[in-house]
Amino acid sequence: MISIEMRTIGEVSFENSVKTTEGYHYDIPCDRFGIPCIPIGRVLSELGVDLKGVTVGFAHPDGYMGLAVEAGKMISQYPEAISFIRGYFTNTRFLEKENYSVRSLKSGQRYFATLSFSVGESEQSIVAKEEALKAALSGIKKIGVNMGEVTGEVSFSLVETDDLFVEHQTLSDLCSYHAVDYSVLLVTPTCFYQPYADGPSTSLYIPGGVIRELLRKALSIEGEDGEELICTNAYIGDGQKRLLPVPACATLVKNDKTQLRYRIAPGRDPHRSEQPAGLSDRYTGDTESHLITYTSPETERIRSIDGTMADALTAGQTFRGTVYGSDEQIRRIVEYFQKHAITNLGTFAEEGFGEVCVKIDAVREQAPKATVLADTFDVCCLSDTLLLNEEGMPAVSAEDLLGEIEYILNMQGELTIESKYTGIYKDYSKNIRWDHDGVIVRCIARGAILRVKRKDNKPVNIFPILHTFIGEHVNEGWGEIRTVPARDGYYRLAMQTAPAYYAVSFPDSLRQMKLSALFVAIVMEDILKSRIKGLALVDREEYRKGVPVSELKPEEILMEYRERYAPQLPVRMLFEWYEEGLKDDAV
Amino acid sequence: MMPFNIPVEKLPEKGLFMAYFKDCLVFEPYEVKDGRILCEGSALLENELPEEGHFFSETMEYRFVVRKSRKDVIELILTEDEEKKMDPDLLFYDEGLVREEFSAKEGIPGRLRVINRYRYSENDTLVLKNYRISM
Repeated sequence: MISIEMRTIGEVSFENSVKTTEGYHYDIPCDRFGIPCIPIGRVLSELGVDLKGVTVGFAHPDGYMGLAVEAGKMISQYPEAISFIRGYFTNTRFLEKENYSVRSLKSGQRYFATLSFSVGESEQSIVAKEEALKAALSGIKKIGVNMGEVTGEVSFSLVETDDLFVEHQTLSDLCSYHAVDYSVLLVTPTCFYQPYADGPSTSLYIPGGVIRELLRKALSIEGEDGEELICTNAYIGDGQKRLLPVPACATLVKNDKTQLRYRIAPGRDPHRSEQPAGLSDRYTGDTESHLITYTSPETERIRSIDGTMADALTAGQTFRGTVYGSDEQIRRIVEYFQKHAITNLGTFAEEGFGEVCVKIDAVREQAPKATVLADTFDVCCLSDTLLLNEEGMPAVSAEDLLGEIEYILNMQGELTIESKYTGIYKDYSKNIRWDHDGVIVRCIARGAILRVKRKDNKPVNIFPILHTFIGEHVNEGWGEIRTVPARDGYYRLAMQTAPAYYAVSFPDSLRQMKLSALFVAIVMEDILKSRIKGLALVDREEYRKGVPVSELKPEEILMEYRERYAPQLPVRMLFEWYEEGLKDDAV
Repeated sequence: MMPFNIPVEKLPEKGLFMAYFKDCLVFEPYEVKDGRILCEGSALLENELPEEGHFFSETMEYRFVVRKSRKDVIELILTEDEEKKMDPDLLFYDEGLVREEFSAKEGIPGRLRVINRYRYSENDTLVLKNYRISM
């Protein structure tokens, strides 16, 4: 994998970044953990480097993936660690005369930005572009602002970096595969632009169509072959599995959001009146327990080069999905992602947004047929579903959905709806695709759920609809439905959890481990030093009055802090810092 | 899926043709001559069947919609005569302007009309049953 390496020789800072903090005139954009992530592609094109056909990712410090995992752990224990993490990479100066602050990258650091080329591009073309880029980069000695100690001096080079992210998948010759489960880790903010939606202007999941388009280009799948390929939407993951949209029948109680009502189940007390609050765009791993934990993907604002403001999914979140296909296609897909783990998805991808790392979780064969009997069962749409009736019009009612289920089970007219919660979704993708000349399609919204049973109450074999795809656009992940035997439980509990960040495990190299360990040690020492100086600040007045250091020094507290933050430090160091703090003039 | 041939005898003899192909949108005038469709996009039509296609004149529309889930193609013929027999309260006439990049071309009018045909559902809600595009 080729990356651009940037070494900071002097200190570096930028103006006009989207994330300039209040009070700072020149700043460094950082991710949610305080680690710098610099849109170096934008910086280079502004300096005149020709980046046509090359996508440059954001520049991150050496060992970024490991550092992000450690940073996440530190911040969850000590939220204040974020400013120390920032301080590991940057210096902050307050300029009295100008009355603003400047944050700059420290000198002597190494940053890496991955290079991606168009999917399916030839080796020759790639090598030619690399040569041109190398030549252009050698001419750049300074970036960003130049004022005082912030000289902006840097040096660029193209380097070959290890493919750290790939765990080798062994496929058996004896198997006939039919599905591959994958995780997509967002390395930079990723946007799937939908300007007409209520809520954020990005889709909160990776549409199956995006994955299918990527595979179509990568593997040159055309025409009839493409019919077998079904790409589900990639929904947010919790570190272990794919979470699914909360069904429309689950609502919270407006005045007490820990209470959840699973309204498709029986057992409602008619004498209680409660106001419902919706749970749309929420994802959960389990709708059968009494306590339902749900999460919502996090977004942030981004600005593209042409000035468009949009929402984007925050980097660090993982999205999981599945691709179904023939054995040959599955093997080719696995092979492709082992060679190209880093790719760019979504809108504004050419600018460095949407850089993702794809990891293969599992490769599966088709499950053998079984009989799964249920008296009453819940059918839930996991993705938007487009059914066309006999007149070619979208059929959006619950009865239409039942009709489709009856068709699949070959039980026309034999099933009945016991309870239903459905919604309608207006899909603008054709409209956008054809530059607003396309139709806006009304379809059954994801989360629609029906409780179904046979009219004569006999049990039904629900195996064919346990997990299948119905209706149109199935290749792009539409019409994914799941069936479970019906469960009781109208009154349930709910808990919201934050999405899991950097919850994908990668094999660690020794070098990575060392970088992460150094990072954690130094940040913890900085926190400790700051704590000790804080103690000294309190005692400073007494020290100035003449009380000797030996009387003031809170040895017990200092030792406790040492144990907590940096047990490897010599005790002498703590005492030195304390004394420095006492003598310090600055606040 | 069974191969589908557009039944030329069912089309209005002359009118506008609109279809969504895989990579492009086609909207242009057409004419039926000697059992074949004549229009700029006719070569494309021979190679590829679009997801949906509309052939319409002032009084009639022929439409086909590919339904992959059942591996069939739904064909519809909608006429002005039918509308004369329908409850006028359930017909809604909508006029839209055609984008300049299309209306500037010869044979394409500046406006199109859509006749929306509604019905009442079991729950007494107004539901769109079908629509006809007209010149």
